[in-house]
Amino acid sequence: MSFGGLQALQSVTMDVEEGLITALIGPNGAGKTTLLNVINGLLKADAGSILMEGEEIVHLPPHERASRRIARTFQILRGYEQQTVLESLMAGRHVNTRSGIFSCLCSLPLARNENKATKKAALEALDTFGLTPYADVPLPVLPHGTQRLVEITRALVSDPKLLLLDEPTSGLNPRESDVLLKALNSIKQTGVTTLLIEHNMRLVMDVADHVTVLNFGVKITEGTPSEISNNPEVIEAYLGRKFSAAAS
Amino acid sequence: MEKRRFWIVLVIAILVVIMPIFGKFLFPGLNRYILHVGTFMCIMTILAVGLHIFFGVCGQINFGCNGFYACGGYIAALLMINLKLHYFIALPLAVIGTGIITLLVGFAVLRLRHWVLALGTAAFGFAVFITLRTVAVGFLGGDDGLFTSKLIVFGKKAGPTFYYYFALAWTFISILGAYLLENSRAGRAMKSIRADEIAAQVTGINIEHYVRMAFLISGMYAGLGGALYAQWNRGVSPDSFTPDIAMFVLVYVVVGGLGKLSGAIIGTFILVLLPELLIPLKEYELLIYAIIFFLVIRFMSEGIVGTVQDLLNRRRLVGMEAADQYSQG
Repeated sequence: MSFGGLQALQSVTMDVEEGLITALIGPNGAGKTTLLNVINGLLKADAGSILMEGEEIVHLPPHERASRRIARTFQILRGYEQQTVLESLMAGRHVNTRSGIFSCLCSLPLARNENKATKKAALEALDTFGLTPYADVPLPVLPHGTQRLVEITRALVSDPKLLLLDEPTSGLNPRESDVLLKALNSIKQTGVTTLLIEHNMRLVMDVADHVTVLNFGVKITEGTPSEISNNPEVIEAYLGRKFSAAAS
Repeated sequence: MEKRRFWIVLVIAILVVIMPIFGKFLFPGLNRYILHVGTFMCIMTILAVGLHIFFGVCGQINFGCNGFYACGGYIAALLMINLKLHYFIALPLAVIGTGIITLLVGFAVLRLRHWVLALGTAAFGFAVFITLRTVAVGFLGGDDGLFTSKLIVFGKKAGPTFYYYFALAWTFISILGAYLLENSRAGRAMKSIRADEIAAQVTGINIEHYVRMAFLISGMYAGLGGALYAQWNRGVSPDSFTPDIAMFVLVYVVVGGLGKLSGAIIGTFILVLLPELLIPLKEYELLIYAIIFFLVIRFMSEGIVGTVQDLLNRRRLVGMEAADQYSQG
């Protein structure tokens, strides 16, 4: 992946193990978000392939990748500003339903039944994450941490096979981060495959099963959280050569 | 909340249905006039609701709905004159025909977005208007337009009362359709596109498809309005489909409250009624519209309905905040 002359990602190869939480870390500008954008198709890869359950998806547009159950949250909260929490979660169930526009316009039985099922699933998800009191509140009125939680819930409500989380704790206060950590742990228990970008190392060490480190668009290393935290190359990438020498 | 809304809608529906009867007793001399304004209001409401689907729900701009309105009107008139079809057959065919034209126009115009889309659609509206005046005068009637014959329903000549109820019934159907659409999978997809296209894509929404479909439906609504107009007016002429109409409908939707179905309806109601109440100022109609438009944009950015709702909701939200502070300790 490159932007003009800038090579943002260079032959990065990584596996996201099914049912595990893989964390993607690296200094600012390492290309973590770019990698996520390439995975769900917002950016087109110059070369290479992306396999999802053994199937090539690199040529698909974003919405078709989403319909293969790749869900995503963003670093900066995105969209749905005029919708209530419940509505936005119901919109998150788009890939699980299939009624067409004219069947919706005429409210044919298919559309009506799907509408009911969608509402039920959304209400259940609200309940799981303790968001039920906010169901009818417009999204922008909520505090930042709650909005973030809603965004993650919206990604999860579609029963994703792969969940991409881009810095879920950015802009959250410690208390909100704790709530999020709990949410992540409960995601882990449900066994959703997750790829997580995160700067909060405590959180990474807590929830990740596997860590991949990027720097300047190149994969430096990967391994379990404890291996990574002792790797001199990683320390160098984050803190510079002097500190890495001191550490080793 | 839901229940209260249901009752409000029911009361308004009953009021507009019995309106002609009241009109007859209260203003005996004005009955025809009241029905005329009422029918026109119904047609404009259908147009506004159609634009609301594309503009308010899906967030795309259309400055050319007079073009689709004209298509509906002319197709209906041409079918009745040339093929001698009954109006009740010509009407649905006109809606479908307008739909096909909308799709074709959409293939070209919907490659554009935002303000360029506004220009593209406005160009279509102007193009239709000019075409109707100058091209194939023998077939389309040029500046004079086309005249349709009397409509006979159940052996009786259709009068103003018939047209009012006929248009009103279609208005109800249109509003119901828009309401169902908005609260369905497709409607939520469109709202997501309005809010954020990138987030929408990632949720699995095919933006191109839904924008095109919203455009199609809004075009068909305009076509329905045109087909209703063609017979009610006993004919069509380019004057009825000037690009001004597109601007008017846009103003109705924005003044009422962009993104709200009730806004499109109430905006149309107020702004169609207003010039009728201010007949002495008729010459300044456009000026008055412009002033209202700017005042609403400046001071009530949520439109009339949005502002009223905000006032009603404020108390509720204050309560929520208090509860929030409590839970945070």
